[in-house]
Amino acid sequence: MLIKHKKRSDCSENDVTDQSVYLNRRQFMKVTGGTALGLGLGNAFAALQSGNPLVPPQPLEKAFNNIAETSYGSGETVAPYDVATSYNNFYEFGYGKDDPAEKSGSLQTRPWTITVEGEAEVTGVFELDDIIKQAALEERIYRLRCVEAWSMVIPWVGIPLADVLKKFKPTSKAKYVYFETLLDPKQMPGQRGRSIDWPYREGLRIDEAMNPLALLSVGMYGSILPNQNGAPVRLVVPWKYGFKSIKSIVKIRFVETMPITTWNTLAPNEYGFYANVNPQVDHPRWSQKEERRLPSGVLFPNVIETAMFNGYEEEVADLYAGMDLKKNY
Amino acid sequence: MRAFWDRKEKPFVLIVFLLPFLWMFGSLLLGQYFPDPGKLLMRLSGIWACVFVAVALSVTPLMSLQRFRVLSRYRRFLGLSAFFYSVLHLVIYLILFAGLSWRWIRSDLVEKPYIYAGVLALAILFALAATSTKKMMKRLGRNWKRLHRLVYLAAIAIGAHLWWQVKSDTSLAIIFSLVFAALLGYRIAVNRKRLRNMLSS
Repeated sequence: MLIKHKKRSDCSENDVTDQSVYLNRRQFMKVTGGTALGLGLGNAFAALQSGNPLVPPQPLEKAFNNIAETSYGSGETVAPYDVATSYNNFYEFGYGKDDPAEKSGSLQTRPWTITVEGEAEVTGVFELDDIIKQAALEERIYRLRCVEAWSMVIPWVGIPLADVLKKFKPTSKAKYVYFETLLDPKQMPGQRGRSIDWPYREGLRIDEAMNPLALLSVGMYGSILPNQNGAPVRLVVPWKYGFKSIKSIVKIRFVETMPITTWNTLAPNEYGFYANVNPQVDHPRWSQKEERRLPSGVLFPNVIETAMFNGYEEEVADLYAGMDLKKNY
Repeated sequence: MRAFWDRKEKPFVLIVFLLPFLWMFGSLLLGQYFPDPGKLLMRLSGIWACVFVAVALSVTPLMSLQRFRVLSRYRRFLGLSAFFYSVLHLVIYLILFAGLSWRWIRSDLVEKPYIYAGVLALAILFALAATSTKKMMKRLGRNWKRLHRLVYLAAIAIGAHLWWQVKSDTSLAIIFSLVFAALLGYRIAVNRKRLRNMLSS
């Protein structure tokens, strides 16, 4: 009980700074509960922050004040904000899990444009602000399963990817959608390293991209995305391993053939194009049958069984009917 | 046991060798490795095991330098520390990484080649630690030295263990491979004649 009181006071401090916090009170309660669980051993992490302290820029205030709640993820225990923003894989800022939080300050997220090209009727350069203003933002609490066998539950804010893509009117030749991250070693110091052929590239089959679960995320925990989480705009494809959810997107290209993707190019036998979460198909070097749901306790992790399609089988299994998922991993 | 503590400063040396462990354990309790201590500590304990293997292997080359002679007193300590940090690495895998989930551990153990390499290195270090007493040295006689040359195989297995799990950051694998290669290469260079005789006979 003591711990809970402390947490509550943390939250109320945040209330002052951020209006959207009010909208997310329901989540805050969950976050608080989750932290208490994660604590295990007393108050080592009493300073953990639960809410997003970032303030949306003025032109986006209205959009972020009207985030629609959805039923996705009800009943899940959301990871504390501090955990979700300090434990990241974003190699553009370094290989370490804490590198993105420490080194992503150099990323300039405004103004931000997305270039749309390829097999679509509407192509060109679009302002991210305009895309956000024209859409209705939704909150979706999704499980994020990393290919490294850990997972977190994150309350994303975004636009269904299909809603955005349809605006560009993809033609019948658009069988796949290709995405690209910003390439700028000045802003992304990790891109000076040569072990990856930058920029980061990802792709989805068009029907995967149009699935209602796929989200073009522009925020989390009720406000905008922190840089380390892929600001200002990223993909969230919750039934696939985390590396499919490409960050800091600057290019969307509709294409006819399966696009080249970063991890698939680096190690094709380990990372497939589809990369669906699948406990039956192990990574060649480690098991995918279980995962550590983060945050771990102090002396013991929270190991749970990994679910087919990360638990989204009902929504996405149809996409792969008749496909051999052991071959198409 | 008396032989083990044959010098007064040895308990202090032991504490020095244990400092990385104490540091890691303290940091773990303070939440420094939050939210996924298993992953970070696997790496840290592995690095320390490699460091102690490398330092133990450096004793012989350094013996040719007068001022490093003193190191030979602690060679057994260094080897035992390497074994200790390897066991710690295993314990961290079992508890903090896999959460003692038998399904997880079994599927890793049965199917993953880089785990074999690690297990091989650990088994060798165990055999060397178990035969590290003066009594065992006497009992094994000439075979003791032969047995303890297996440490070179352990170093190679550790190199394989590192390379096999590279995701895209190769720095650790490169550093330790170079160190081990230099230490093994030194021995090959020094014993060239003997090796040639062995091969030709």
